[in-house]
Amino acid sequence: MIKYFLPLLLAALCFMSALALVLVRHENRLLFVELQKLQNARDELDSDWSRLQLEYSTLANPARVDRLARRQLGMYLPAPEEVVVIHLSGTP
Amino acid sequence: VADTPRIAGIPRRQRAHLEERRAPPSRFHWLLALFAVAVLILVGRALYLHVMHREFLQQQGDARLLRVVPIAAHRGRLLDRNGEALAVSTPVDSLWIKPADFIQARARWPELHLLGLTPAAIDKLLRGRMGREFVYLQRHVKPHLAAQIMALQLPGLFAQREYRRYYPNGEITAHALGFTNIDDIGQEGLELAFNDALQGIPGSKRVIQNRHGHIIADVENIQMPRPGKDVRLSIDRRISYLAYRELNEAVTRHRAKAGSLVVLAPDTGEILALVNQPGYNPNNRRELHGSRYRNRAVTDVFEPGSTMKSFSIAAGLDSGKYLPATVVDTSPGTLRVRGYTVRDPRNYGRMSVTEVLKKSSNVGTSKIALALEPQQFWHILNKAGFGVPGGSGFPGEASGMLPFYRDWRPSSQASMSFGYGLNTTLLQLAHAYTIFANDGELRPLRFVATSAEETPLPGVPVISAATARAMRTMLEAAVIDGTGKLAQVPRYRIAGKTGTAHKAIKGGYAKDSYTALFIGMAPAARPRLLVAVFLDEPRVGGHYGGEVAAPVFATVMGGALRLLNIAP
Repeated sequence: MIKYFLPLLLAALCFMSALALVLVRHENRLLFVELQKLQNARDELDSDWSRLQLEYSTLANPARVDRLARRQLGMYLPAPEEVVVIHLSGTP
Repeated sequence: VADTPRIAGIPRRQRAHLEERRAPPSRFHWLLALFAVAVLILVGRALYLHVMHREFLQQQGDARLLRVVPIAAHRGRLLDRNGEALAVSTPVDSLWIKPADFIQARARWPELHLLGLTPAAIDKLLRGRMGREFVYLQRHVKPHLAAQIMALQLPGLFAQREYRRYYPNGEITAHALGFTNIDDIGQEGLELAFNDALQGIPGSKRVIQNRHGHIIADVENIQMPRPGKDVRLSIDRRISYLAYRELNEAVTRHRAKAGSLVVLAPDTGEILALVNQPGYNPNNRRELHGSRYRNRAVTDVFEPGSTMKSFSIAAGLDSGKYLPATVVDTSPGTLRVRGYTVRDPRNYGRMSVTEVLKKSSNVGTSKIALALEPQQFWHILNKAGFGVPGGSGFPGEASGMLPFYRDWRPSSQASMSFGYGLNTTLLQLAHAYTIFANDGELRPLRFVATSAEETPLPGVPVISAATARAMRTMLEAAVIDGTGKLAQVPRYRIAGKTGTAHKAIKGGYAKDSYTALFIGMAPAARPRLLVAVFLDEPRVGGHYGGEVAAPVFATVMGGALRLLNIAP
């Protein structure tokens, strides 16, 4: 019986390794699909992000802000006479 | 008979039937042998293919199935000094076709009207290109539209991910930033100067494709794409807008041919704004003509005229031969230097060096410059960067021209002292003026924002700190009641110099075409900002630097001081 122990053990290990290989292969495939999905999601988010950045930049464009402030809000730059300079530390 | 038991289970009636038709044993064996041979051939063939030729066949199979395709890398953004986006790459899809396959779906071509393509236009595109494997149908299609088109599943139509550059500030930052080509590679301006940092490294992946070339599945990533880095520039978006708006208005009002404006932070050498007229919208490639996209402030040279007097007088002060109060006799308002006459608009008589600068007297300046050794004068101009190439590192930068002192005649020394006979770009001239703001040191210009932890680059001393301070006081006087009155900004102390130059034409100077300049800094006690304004051929409403360029300076300087919260 002892004579067959080693070959049997090796055969068992071999069989287990074969099973493990199949399992790992399968897992690999699943993970790769997952990676793909995540990469696509990231690309999608990247695309959204740059679009939003552009949108933000366009909306915050100084020319637009200037126009809105003047026309819609009736704002203007104060004339020098309307400005009071306050020196916090006493003398300028 | 040997094989009788084999048919023992069959009913007698049928057995009789079989026995009747049983083949002779030899024929049975032949058949068996034939099958054996067939099996052997198959096994042999299998061995031949699977063992002996495995590698070759595997390769051939893979070559037909597996493809390595590139993954585009994202180009880094250009940011302004406050982190606002100035240039952003967004993903787009480029549609391409394999003409041989695509032509089979001719009946469905009208479905492509979403792209604005008619079948006739596609026919025209394919003419002469039928033999090709790859023809762009349309580049840079918005992703959602491309997805719609791909959903039509036309044969021989493919999409490829690319990036397109957008400049949200359009014309305002156009000249400083430059632009990229359709493959998102920098072509002009800072996009070109920083291309290596901005550009990512494309990756690649292995995919399985079907008979039609469509990608079915990704197998593995060979190399992940490395996105480009963002570059935070020294440009300030708000100051650039202000500068652009005011310059544009002045160019229109005075019907000038062109104009440039530069805003610098003299203490760090940072360029805060660099704008030109005429401009262009970098988001619209049809506007890309050389005359529009050229960054005049950096590529075009002109004779600096009176703005040069500051350097002549600084050289005089630095030599120790003059003090701001030294009296110079400018009467009778003309000066003959070896057959060349220097003229003032009228006879100013005897006056101090400060007055010479304030009234911008050609005669007085020439006298001061002629009292110096040519070498001494040249040295200061050269160290201030005149005629020196590559000051800012901006692509296509002109170096200007400063003749070598050994080639000078006394008349050229005189004319150079008030800005003729040498030339410079506006950026160069503005940079040279920083020596007055920085107590005599010239610090290198930079387009990248300084960070808090870095130590400032050392400057090169050009004139002494005392001379620089004296110059600031004199330049301040020129704004208070000299030629530059219109450059005043309420509450702030401004130091600056006007300049008006006749334009050089073939064989001399034009009588009635001028360039108008103003360069100034504020606050005069410790300058934080330097603004240089240049207008080319103003035709309406005056032509003097003090009339045309100084008001632009005042608005831009006033606004920039306010934007940067600089106290008076």
